Amino acid sequence: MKQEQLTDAHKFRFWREQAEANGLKINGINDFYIRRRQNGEVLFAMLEVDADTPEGDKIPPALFLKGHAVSVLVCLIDEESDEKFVVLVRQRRICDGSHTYEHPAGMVDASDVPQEVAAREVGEEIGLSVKPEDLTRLNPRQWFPSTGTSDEAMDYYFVERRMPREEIMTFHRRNMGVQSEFERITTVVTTLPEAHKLINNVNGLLIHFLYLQTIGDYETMKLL
Amino acid sequence: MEKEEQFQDSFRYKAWRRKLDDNGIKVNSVHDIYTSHGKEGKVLRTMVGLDADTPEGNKLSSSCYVKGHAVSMLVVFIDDQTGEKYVLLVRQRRVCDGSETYEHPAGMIDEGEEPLEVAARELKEEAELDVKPEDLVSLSLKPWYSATSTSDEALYFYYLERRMSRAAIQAMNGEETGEAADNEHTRLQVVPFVEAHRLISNLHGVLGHLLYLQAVGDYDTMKSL
Repeated sequence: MKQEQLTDAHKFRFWREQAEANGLKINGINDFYIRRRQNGEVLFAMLEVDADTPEGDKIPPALFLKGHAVSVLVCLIDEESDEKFVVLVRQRRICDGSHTYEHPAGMVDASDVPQEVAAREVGEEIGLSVKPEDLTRLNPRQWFPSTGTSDEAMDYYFVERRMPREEIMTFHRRNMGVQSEFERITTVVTTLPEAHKLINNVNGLLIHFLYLQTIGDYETMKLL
Repeated sequence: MEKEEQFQDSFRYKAWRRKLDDNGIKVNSVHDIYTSHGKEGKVLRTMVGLDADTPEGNKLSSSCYVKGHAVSMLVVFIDDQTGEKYVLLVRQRRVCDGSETYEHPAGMIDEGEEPLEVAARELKEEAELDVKPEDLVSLSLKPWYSATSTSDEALYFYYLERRMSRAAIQAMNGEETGEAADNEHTRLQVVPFVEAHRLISNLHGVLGHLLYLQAVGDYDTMKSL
């Protein structure tokens, strides 16, 4: 398998272009670690950057290169009662080794359009078939989870589907199998206020607020 | 040159390892991929490579950026005549895209420190604000993770409200803070709430605004964002 070189990787080139456009003078890059996908493409890299800012400082050198990611709030609405449910995924995470509850999410590869990745992840992680055009974007610009140490940037989407209650409950406790070595996923259907309690990550909490703000549902927001 | 601390000896690494143990993870091996050291050679952050098994018999992810816990503070200045709200932002060059970002004051929690005390101290250091811990209101019952699949980083959120004259609010603008030795040239900026929301580009800042507006029940401002 041919291994992609760091300097050829889309996420590296994108970061470098942005940084240079914003005035950084990049003198050198050291790579300490590169994790690749099975197809050889660069997934993450731990880099040390030697770069000068326009103010004449050095930028703090650690850069965890991750690229872009998407997260999707899936809202299933009971077509009789109008009650709303979200579908979360439960899986073991390295942050503390526990099972976390999160919204479907995924990383955007070089050749991908974020909205297409978002639609695909919803299919793979919770088994709901959605088209990219069914998704509504929730953020006006990309937001960074860790500005001081990573290029990672997030996009958020939501999709709503009306269906009978019985069909909603078929999305509960699905085993979505092992897509890769590291993913063993179970789905959970719950209400938004309950989901807000189960979730312990910034992305998940943020997407609740963004969704409720976008659809103007401040009554539910008060319950969070 | 001070002797540099090894990552296995750092309190952040030990705290993360304890959590893995508590959650039933069997760690077979760890190694140092990349460590950043701070003052006196203390470990700030480590990219840890690992081989670990879950109780279900799967492998856990093979790396974790161990960064520990931090605090993020939303400072809201309220014009005592008009009630208009302003937000204190820290402007600083960031490696994420090389631009000058606008963020809320924040800080890492060091060994043995209480989050609330760190929050008050950082506001003193970053913004020269005299803040007692009891002036800060918590917006998070527990620290929330930034990126569960790649890091242990988790943040506590607080807010602080101060009523003052427009002139006193404007006087905060443009102050330079930070030490050159830390590669941390920062400038303060005080802008109206809605503008702050447009300027800010990090998740914690956006979430901080929304958590605060919900907590104080200011849905008028939320609707105008």
